[in-house]
Amino acid sequence: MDSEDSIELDSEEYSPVYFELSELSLNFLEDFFKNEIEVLVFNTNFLQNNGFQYQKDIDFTQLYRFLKVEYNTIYSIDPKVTDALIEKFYRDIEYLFRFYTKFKEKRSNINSVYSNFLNKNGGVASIGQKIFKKDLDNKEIEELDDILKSEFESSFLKEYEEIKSELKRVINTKSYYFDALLWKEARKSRSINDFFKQLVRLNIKSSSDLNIKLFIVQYLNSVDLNHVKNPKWHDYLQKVIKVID
Amino acid sequence: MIVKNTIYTENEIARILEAGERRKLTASEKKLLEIYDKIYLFDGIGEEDIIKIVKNVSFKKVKKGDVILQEGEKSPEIYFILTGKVVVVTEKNKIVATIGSGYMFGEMTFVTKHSRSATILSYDDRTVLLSFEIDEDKCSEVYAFPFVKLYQNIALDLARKIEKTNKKIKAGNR
Repeated sequence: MDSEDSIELDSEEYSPVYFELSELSLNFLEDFFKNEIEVLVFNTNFLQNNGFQYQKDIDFTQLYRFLKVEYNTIYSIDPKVTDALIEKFYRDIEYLFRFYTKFKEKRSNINSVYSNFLNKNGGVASIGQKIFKKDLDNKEIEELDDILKSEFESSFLKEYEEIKSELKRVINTKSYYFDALLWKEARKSRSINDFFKQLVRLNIKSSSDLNIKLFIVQYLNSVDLNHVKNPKWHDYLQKVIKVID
Repeated sequence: MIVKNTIYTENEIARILEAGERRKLTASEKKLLEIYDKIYLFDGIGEEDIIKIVKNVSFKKVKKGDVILQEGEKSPEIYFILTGKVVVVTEKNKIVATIGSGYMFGEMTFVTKHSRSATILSYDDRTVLLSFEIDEDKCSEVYAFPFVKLYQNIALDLARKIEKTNKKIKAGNR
Protein backbone atom coordinates (compact mmCIF):
# COMPACT_ATOMS: atom_id res chain seq x y z
CA MET A 1 0.00 0.00 0.00
CA ASP A 2 1.62 3.28 -1.05
CA SER A 3 1.26 6.57 0.73
CA GLU A 4 -1.51 7.82 -1.60
CA ASP A 5 -3.61 4.76 -0.83
CA SER A 6 -2.86 4.73 2.91
CA ILE A 7 -5.89 4.71 5.17
CA GLU A 8 -6.85 7.92 6.94
CA LEU A 9 -6.67 7.08 10.59
CA ASP A 10 -6.02 10.54 11.91
CA SER A 11 -8.07 11.84 14.78
CA GLU A 12 -10.50 13.85 12.70
CA GLU A 13 -13.70 13.05 14.48
CA TYR A 14 -16.03 13.79 11.62
CA SER A 15 -14.07 12.13 8.83
CA PRO A 16 -16.02 9.55 6.76
CA VAL A 17 -13.95 6.79 8.34
CA TYR A 18 -14.93 7.80 11.84
CA PHE A 19 -18.50 8.19 10.72
CA GLU A 20 -18.54 4.59 9.48
CA LEU A 21 -16.90 3.32 12.66
CA SER A 22 -19.40 5.19 14.72
CA GLU A 23 -22.27 3.79 12.66
CA LEU A 24 -21.00 0.26 13.27
CA SER A 25 -20.77 0.87 17.02
CA LEU A 26 -24.18 2.46 17.25
CA ASN A 27 -25.88 -0.32 15.30
CA PHE A 28 -24.36 -2.85 17.63
CA LEU A 29 -25.20 -0.86 20.77
CA GLU A 30 -28.78 -0.36 19.68
CA ASP A 31 -29.14 -4.09 19.66
CA PHE A 32 -27.05 -4.53 22.81
CA PHE A 33 -29.29 -2.13 24.79
CA LYS A 34 -32.49 -3.23 23.05
CA ASN A 35 -34.13 -4.41 26.26
CA GLU A 36 -33.29 -1.21 28.15
CA ILE A 37 -34.62 0.95 25.33
CA GLU A 38 -37.86 -1.05 25.27
CA VAL A 39 -38.38 -0.64 29.03
CA LEU A 40 -37.51 3.04 28.82
CA VAL A 41 -39.88 3.77 25.96
CA PHE A 42 -42.70 1.93 27.72
CA ASN A 43 -42.21 3.69 31.04
CA THR A 44 -41.51 7.13 29.63
CA ASN A 45 -44.70 6.95 27.57
CA PHE A 46 -46.61 5.78 30.63
CA LEU A 47 -45.37 8.66 32.79
CA GLN A 48 -45.74 11.34 30.15
CA ASN A 49 -49.12 10.27 28.83
CA ASN A 50 -50.67 10.09 32.28
CA GLY A 51 -49.53 13.41 33.71
CA PHE A 52 -46.87 12.20 36.15
CA GLN A 53 -44.38 14.82 37.22
CA TYR A 54 -40.76 13.80 36.98
CA GLN A 55 -39.12 13.83 40.39
CA LYS A 56 -35.65 15.22 40.92
CA ASP A 57 -35.38 15.90 44.65
CA ILE A 58 -34.73 12.38 45.88
CA ASP A 59 -32.55 9.74 44.29
CA PHE A 60 -34.49 6.60 45.12
CA THR A 61 -31.95 4.45 43.28
CA GLN A 62 -29.88 4.96 46.45
CA LEU A 63 -32.81 4.25 48.74
CA TYR A 64 -34.14 0.98 47.41
CA ARG A 65 -33.41 -0.94 50.61
CA PHE A 66 -35.51 1.56 52.56
CA LEU A 67 -38.42 1.21 50.16
CA LYS A 68 -38.23 -2.55 50.62
CA VAL A 69 -38.04 -2.31 54.40
CA GLU A 70 -40.94 0.13 54.66
CA TYR A 71 -43.11 -1.99 52.36
CA ASN A 72 -42.36 -5.15 54.34
CA THR A 73 -42.78 -3.41 57.69
CA ILE A 74 -46.12 -1.90 56.75
CA TYR A 75 -47.27 -5.22 55.33
CA SER A 76 -46.30 -7.06 58.51
CA ILE A 77 -48.11 -4.57 60.77
CA ASP A 78 -51.27 -4.20 58.72
CA PRO A 79 -51.50 -6.33 55.55
CA LYS A 80 -54.74 -4.58 54.59
CA VAL A 81 -52.75 -1.43 53.75
CA THR A 82 -50.84 -3.08 50.93
CA ASP A 83 -53.83 -3.63 48.70
CA ALA A 84 -53.78 -4.99 45.13
CA LEU A 85 -52.63 -1.71 43.57
CA ILE A 86 -49.84 -1.14 46.09
CA GLU A 87 -48.61 -4.68 45.64
CA LYS A 88 -48.70 -4.37 41.85
CA PHE A 89 -46.89 -1.04 42.02
CA TYR A 90 -44.29 -2.50 44.39
CA ARG A 91 -43.62 -5.42 42.04
CA ASP A 92 -43.28 -2.98 39.15
CA ILE A 93 -40.68 -0.97 41.04
CA GLU A 94 -38.94 -4.09 42.26
CA TYR A 95 -38.59 -5.16 38.64
CA LEU A 96 -37.20 -1.77 37.63
CA PHE A 97 -34.62 -1.77 40.42
CA ARG A 98 -33.42 -5.27 39.48
CA PHE A 99 -33.38 -4.25 35.87
CA TYR A 100 -31.34 -1.15 36.71
CA THR A 101 -28.80 -3.18 38.71
CA LYS A 102 -28.39 -5.65 35.85
CA PHE A 103 -28.04 -2.80 33.40
CA LYS A 104 -25.23 -1.26 35.46
CA GLU A 105 -23.32 -4.54 35.34
CA LYS A 106 -23.01 -4.06 31.60
CA ARG A 107 -20.72 -1.13 32.26
CA SER A 108 -18.07 -3.28 33.95
CA ASN A 109 -17.94 -5.76 31.06
CA ILE A 110 -17.01 -3.25 28.42
CA ASN A 111 -14.02 -5.31 27.16
CA SER A 112 -16.07 -8.40 26.56
CA VAL A 113 -18.77 -6.28 24.91
CA TYR A 114 -16.11 -4.92 22.57
CA SER A 115 -15.02 -8.49 21.74
CA ASN A 116 -18.65 -9.37 20.95
CA PHE A 117 -18.86 -6.32 18.75
CA LEU A 118 -15.75 -7.43 16.82
CA ASN A 119 -17.02 -11.00 16.51
CA LYS A 120 -20.37 -9.82 15.26
CA ASN A 121 -18.62 -7.82 12.56
CA GLY A 122 -16.10 -10.52 11.62
CA GLY A 123 -13.09 -9.04 13.47
CA VAL A 124 -10.92 -5.96 12.93
CA ALA A 125 -9.53 -7.11 9.57
CA SER A 126 -12.99 -7.66 8.17
CA ILE A 127 -14.21 -4.27 9.44
CA GLY A 128 -11.13 -2.62 7.85
CA GLN A 129 -11.89 -4.43 4.60
CA LYS A 130 -15.49 -3.16 4.65
CA ILE A 131 -14.52 0.44 5.38
CA PHE A 132 -11.45 0.81 3.18
CA LYS A 133 -12.45 -1.68 0.49
CA LYS A 134 -9.03 -3.35 0.67
CA ASP A 135 -7.04 -5.71 2.88
CA LEU A 136 -5.11 -4.05 5.67
CA ASP A 137 -1.65 -5.15 6.79
CA ASN A 138 -0.97 -6.17 10.38
CA LYS A 139 0.26 -2.74 11.43
CA GLU A 140 -2.83 -1.09 10.01
CA ILE A 141 -5.08 -3.68 11.64
CA GLU A 142 -3.45 -2.95 14.98
CA GLU A 143 -3.85 0.76 14.41
CA LEU A 144 -7.48 0.30 13.41
CA ASP A 145 -8.11 -1.87 16.46
CA ASP A 146 -6.96 0.96 18.75
CA ILE A 147 -9.13 3.53 17.01
CA LEU A 148 -12.05 1.14 16.83
CA LYS A 149 -11.81 0.32 20.51
CA SER A 150 -11.60 3.93 21.50
CA GLU A 151 -14.51 4.86 19.22
CA PHE A 152 -16.55 1.92 20.49
CA GLU A 153 -15.88 2.76 24.14
CA SER A 154 -16.83 6.36 23.68
CA SER A 155 -20.09 5.41 21.90
CA PHE A 156 -20.78 2.77 24.54
CA LEU A 157 -20.27 5.16 27.44
CA LYS A 158 -22.35 7.86 25.82
CA GLU A 159 -25.22 5.46 25.20
CA TYR A 160 -24.83 3.89 28.64
CA GLU A 161 -24.92 7.22 30.47
CA GLU A 162 -27.96 8.40 28.53
CA ILE A 163 -29.88 5.22 29.30
CA LYS A 164 -28.73 5.30 32.92
CA SER A 165 -29.95 8.83 33.41
CA GLU A 166 -33.31 8.10 31.76
CA LEU A 167 -33.77 4.90 33.76
CA LYS A 168 -32.99 6.75 36.97
CA ARG A 169 -35.57 9.37 36.09
CA VAL A 170 -38.22 6.71 35.53
CA ILE A 171 -37.30 4.80 38.70
CA ASN A 172 -37.15 7.93 40.85
CA THR A 173 -40.51 9.14 39.60
CA LYS A 174 -42.25 5.81 40.02
CA SER A 175 -40.63 5.30 43.44
CA TYR A 176 -41.72 8.74 44.60
CA TYR A 177 -45.34 8.02 43.69
CA PHE A 178 -45.15 4.54 45.17
CA ASP A 179 -43.77 5.88 48.45
CA ALA A 180 -46.47 8.57 48.55
CA LEU A 181 -49.26 6.06 47.88
CA LEU A 182 -47.94 3.54 50.40
CA TRP A 183 -47.76 6.09 53.23
CA LYS A 184 -51.04 7.72 52.28
CA GLU A 185 -52.75 4.39 52.86
CA ALA A 186 -50.57 3.48 55.85
CA ARG A 187 -51.47 6.72 57.67
CA LYS A 188 -55.12 5.66 57.62
CA SER A 189 -54.32 2.52 59.57
CA ARG A 190 -54.70 2.66 63.32
CA SER A 191 -52.25 -0.23 63.83
CA ILE A 192 -49.58 1.55 61.80
CA ASN A 193 -50.11 4.81 63.71
CA ASP A 194 -50.06 3.01 67.05
CA PHE A 195 -46.96 1.03 66.12
CA PHE A 196 -44.84 4.02 65.16
CA LYS A 197 -46.19 6.43 67.74
CA GLN A 198 -45.25 4.06 70.56
CA LEU A 199 -41.62 4.16 69.42
CA VAL A 200 -40.88 7.15 71.62
CA ARG A 201 -37.40 7.77 70.27
CA LEU A 202 -38.84 8.41 66.81
CA ASN A 203 -40.74 11.35 68.29
CA ILE A 204 -43.76 11.05 66.01
CA LYS A 205 -46.17 13.82 66.77
CA SER A 206 -48.66 13.27 64.00
CA SER A 207 -49.16 10.76 61.26
CA SER A 208 -47.82 13.29 58.75
CA ASP A 209 -44.43 12.38 60.25
CA LEU A 210 -44.87 8.83 59.00
CA ASN A 211 -42.71 8.49 55.90
CA ILE A 212 -39.56 6.87 54.54
CA LYS A 213 -37.46 9.31 56.59
CA LEU A 214 -38.27 7.24 59.70
CA PHE A 215 -36.42 4.26 58.33
CA ILE A 216 -33.45 6.29 57.14
CA VAL A 217 -33.11 8.09 60.48
CA GLN A 218 -33.45 4.82 62.35
CA TYR A 219 -30.75 3.28 60.16
CA LEU A 220 -28.39 6.25 60.57
CA ASN A 221 -28.88 6.11 64.32
CA SER A 222 -27.90 2.48 64.34
CA VAL A 223 -24.57 2.73 62.47
CA ASP A 224 -21.23 4.11 63.50
CA LEU A 225 -20.74 6.74 60.82
CA ASN A 226 -16.99 6.78 61.42
CA HIS A 227 -16.68 3.17 60.32
CA VAL A 228 -18.98 2.79 57.35
CA LYS A 229 -18.07 1.01 54.14
CA ASN A 230 -19.69 3.53 51.86
CA PRO A 231 -19.31 7.03 53.32
CA LYS A 232 -20.66 8.69 50.15
CA TRP A 233 -23.93 6.84 50.49
CA HIS A 234 -24.19 7.77 54.15
CA ASP A 235 -23.50 11.39 53.27
CA TYR A 236 -26.33 11.18 50.78
CA LEU A 237 -28.65 9.73 53.43
CA GLN A 238 -27.81 12.61 55.75
CA LYS A 239 -28.66 15.05 52.99
CA VAL A 240 -31.83 13.32 51.89
CA ILE A 241 -33.45 13.34 55.32
CA LYS A 242 -33.34 17.12 55.17
CA VAL A 243 -35.20 17.09 51.84
CA ILE A 244 -37.91 14.62 52.84
CA ASP A 245 -40.78 16.25 54.60
CA MET B 1 -44.37 -12.39 40.29
CA ILE B 2 -42.10 -10.02 38.42
CA VAL B 3 -43.70 -8.30 35.45
CA LYS B 4 -41.64 -6.50 32.84
CA ASN B 5 -44.02 -3.77 31.74
CA THR B 6 -46.86 -3.37 34.22
CA ILE B 7 -50.18 -2.00 32.97
CA TYR B 8 -52.35 0.17 35.22
CA THR B 9 -56.04 0.94 34.87
CA GLU B 10 -57.28 4.53 34.69
CA ASN B 11 -58.59 4.34 38.25
CA GLU B 12 -55.29 3.03 39.54
CA ILE B 13 -53.41 5.82 37.79
CA ALA B 14 -55.78 8.39 39.32
CA ARG B 15 -55.13 6.96 42.80
CA ILE B 16 -51.38 7.05 42.30
CA LEU B 17 -51.39 10.60 40.97
CA GLU B 18 -53.54 11.85 43.82
CA ALA B 19 -51.23 10.30 46.40
CA GLY B 20 -48.22 11.96 44.81
CA GLU B 21 -49.63 15.46 44.77
CA ARG B 22 -46.84 17.46 46.28
CA ARG B 23 -47.91 19.75 49.04
CA LYS B 24 -45.53 20.71 51.80
CA LEU B 25 -47.20 21.34 55.10
CA THR B 26 -46.50 24.62 56.84
CA ALA B 27 -45.30 24.61 60.46
CA SER B 28 -48.78 25.72 61.54
CA GLU B 29 -50.46 22.94 59.57
CA LYS B 30 -48.13 20.43 61.19
CA LYS B 31 -49.04 21.81 64.59
CA LEU B 32 -52.72 21.51 63.72
CA LEU B 33 -52.19 17.86 62.86
CA GLU B 34 -50.52 17.29 66.21
CA ILE B 35 -53.55 18.51 68.11
CA TYR B 36 -56.45 17.85 65.76
CA ASP B 37 -57.68 14.94 67.86
CA LYS B 38 -58.44 17.48 70.61
CA ILE B 39 -60.62 19.54 68.28
CA TYR B 40 -64.14 18.13 68.28
CA LEU B 41 -64.81 19.72 64.88
CA PHE B 42 -62.49 17.16 63.32
CA ASP B 43 -63.83 14.04 65.08
CA GLY B 44 -63.82 11.14 62.63
CA ILE B 45 -61.97 13.05 59.90
CA GLY B 46 -58.57 11.77 58.83
CA GLU B 47 -55.46 13.97 58.74
CA GLU B 48 -55.22 13.85 54.95
CA ASP B 49 -58.76 15.20 54.68
CA ILE B 50 -58.26 17.83 57.36
CA ILE B 51 -55.33 19.30 55.49
CA LYS B 52 -57.41 19.43 52.34
CA ILE B 53 -60.34 21.28 53.87
CA VAL B 54 -58.56 23.81 56.09
CA LYS B 55 -56.76 26.93 54.95
CA ASN B 56 -54.87 29.89 56.41
CA VAL B 57 -53.67 27.93 59.42
CA SER B 58 -51.55 30.16 61.67
CA PHE B 59 -50.35 30.81 65.20
CA LYS B 60 -51.25 33.97 67.10
CA LYS B 61 -49.64 35.17 70.31
CA VAL B 62 -51.82 37.64 72.21
CA LYS B 63 -51.37 39.65 75.38
CA LYS B 64 -53.84 40.21 78.17
CA GLY B 65 -56.59 42.55 77.00
CA ASP B 66 -55.93 42.08 73.27
CA VAL B 67 -59.12 41.81 71.25
CA ILE B 68 -59.22 38.55 69.36
CA LEU B 69 -62.76 38.81 68.03
CA GLN B 70 -64.92 41.92 67.99
CA GLU B 71 -68.69 41.62 68.30
CA GLY B 72 -70.32 42.55 65.00
CA GLU B 73 -67.29 41.90 62.81
CA LYS B 74 -67.42 39.43 59.98
CA SER B 75 -64.48 37.06 59.99
CA PRO B 76 -64.20 33.39 59.15
CA GLU B 77 -61.46 32.20 61.54
CA ILE B 78 -61.89 29.41 64.03
CA TYR B 79 -59.59 29.47 67.06
CA PHE B 80 -58.07 26.78 69.21
CA ILE B 81 -56.41 27.84 72.48
CA LEU B 82 -52.99 26.25 72.81
CA THR B 83 -51.99 28.03 76.04
CA GLY B 84 -53.53 30.71 78.24
CA LYS B 85 -57.19 31.68 78.31
CA VAL B 86 -59.67 34.08 76.77
CA VAL B 87 -62.85 35.71 78.01
CA VAL B 88 -66.16 36.34 76.29
CA VAL B 89 -67.44 39.84 77.09
CA THR B 90 -70.69 41.65 76.43
CA GLU B 91 -71.21 45.20 75.18
CA LYS B 92 -70.97 46.47 78.73
CA ASN B 93 -67.62 44.72 79.17
CA LYS B 94 -69.16 42.13 81.42
CA ILE B 95 -67.33 38.79 81.34
CA VAL B 96 -69.87 36.09 80.56
CA ALA B 97 -67.57 33.15 80.00
CA THR B 98 -63.94 32.05 80.21
CA ILE B 99 -62.42 29.62 77.76
CA GLY B 100 -59.15 27.87 78.62
CA SER B 101 -56.47 25.97 76.74
CA GLY B 102 -57.59 22.93 74.82
CA TYR B 103 -60.86 24.56 73.81
CA MET B 104 -61.98 26.36 70.70
CA PHE B 105 -64.17 29.28 69.75
CA GLY B 106 -65.42 31.04 66.68
CA GLU B 107 -66.68 27.93 64.93
CA MET B 108 -70.36 28.92 64.83
CA THR B 109 -69.75 31.61 62.24
CA PHE B 110 -68.77 28.84 59.86
CA VAL B 111 -72.38 27.62 59.96
CA THR B 112 -74.38 30.80 60.48
CA LYS B 113 -72.28 33.16 58.35
CA HIS B 114 -73.45 35.88 60.74
CA SER B 115 -71.17 38.47 62.22
CA ARG B 116 -69.51 37.65 65.55
CA SER B 117 -72.00 37.53 68.39
CA ALA B 118 -69.58 38.48 71.16
CA THR B 119 -66.21 40.07 71.77
CA ILE B 120 -63.38 37.81 72.85
CA LEU B 121 -60.34 39.14 74.69
CA SER B 122 -57.18 37.49 75.84
CA TYR B 123 -57.12 37.05 79.60
CA ASP B 124 -53.53 36.02 79.81
CA ASP B 125 -50.18 37.41 78.68
CA ARG B 126 -49.15 34.04 77.36
CA THR B 127 -52.16 33.17 75.27
CA VAL B 128 -51.22 31.29 72.11
CA LEU B 129 -53.92 30.52 69.58
CA LEU B 130 -54.01 28.38 66.52
CA SER B 131 -56.40 29.84 63.99
CA PHE B 132 -57.67 28.35 60.77
CA GLU B 133 -60.49 28.61 58.29
CA ILE B 134 -62.57 25.93 56.65
CA ASP B 135 -62.09 26.14 52.91
CA GLU B 136 -65.67 26.08 51.73
CA ASP B 137 -64.61 26.13 48.09
CA LYS B 138 -63.65 22.51 48.68
CA CYS B 139 -67.19 21.65 49.75
CA SER B 140 -68.02 19.52 46.74
CA GLU B 141 -68.59 15.87 45.96
CA VAL B 142 -64.87 15.21 46.13
CA TYR B 143 -64.68 16.18 49.78
CA ALA B 144 -68.23 15.25 50.66
CA PHE B 145 -67.21 12.94 53.49
CA PRO B 146 -65.14 15.37 55.59
CA PHE B 147 -67.72 18.11 55.16
CA VAL B 148 -70.57 15.81 56.20
CA LYS B 149 -68.56 14.86 59.28
CA LEU B 150 -67.78 18.51 59.99
CA TYR B 151 -71.46 19.54 59.93
CA GLN B 152 -72.37 16.44 61.92
CA ASN B 153 -69.82 17.40 64.62
CA ILE B 154 -71.13 20.95 64.81
CA ALA B 155 -74.74 19.73 64.96
CA LEU B 156 -73.80 17.36 67.77
CA ASP B 157 -72.06 20.13 69.68
CA LEU B 158 -75.04 22.46 69.25
CA ALA B 159 -77.41 19.74 70.42
CA ARG B 160 -75.26 19.23 73.56
CA LYS B 161 -75.25 22.96 74.25
CA ILE B 162 -79.04 23.14 73.89
CA GLU B 163 -79.38 20.14 76.22
CA LYS B 164 -77.15 21.86 78.75
CA THR B 165 -79.12 25.11 78.49
CA ASN B 166 -82.40 23.22 78.87
CA LYS B 167 -81.10 21.57 82.02
CA LYS B 168 -80.08 24.96 83.41
CA ILE B 169 -83.50 26.41 82.58
CA LYS B 170 -85.25 23.43 84.19
CA ALA B 171 -83.04 23.73 87.26
CA GLY B 172 -83.82 27.47 87.42
CA ASN B 173 -87.55 26.81 87.19
CA ARG B 174 -87.53 24.44 90.12
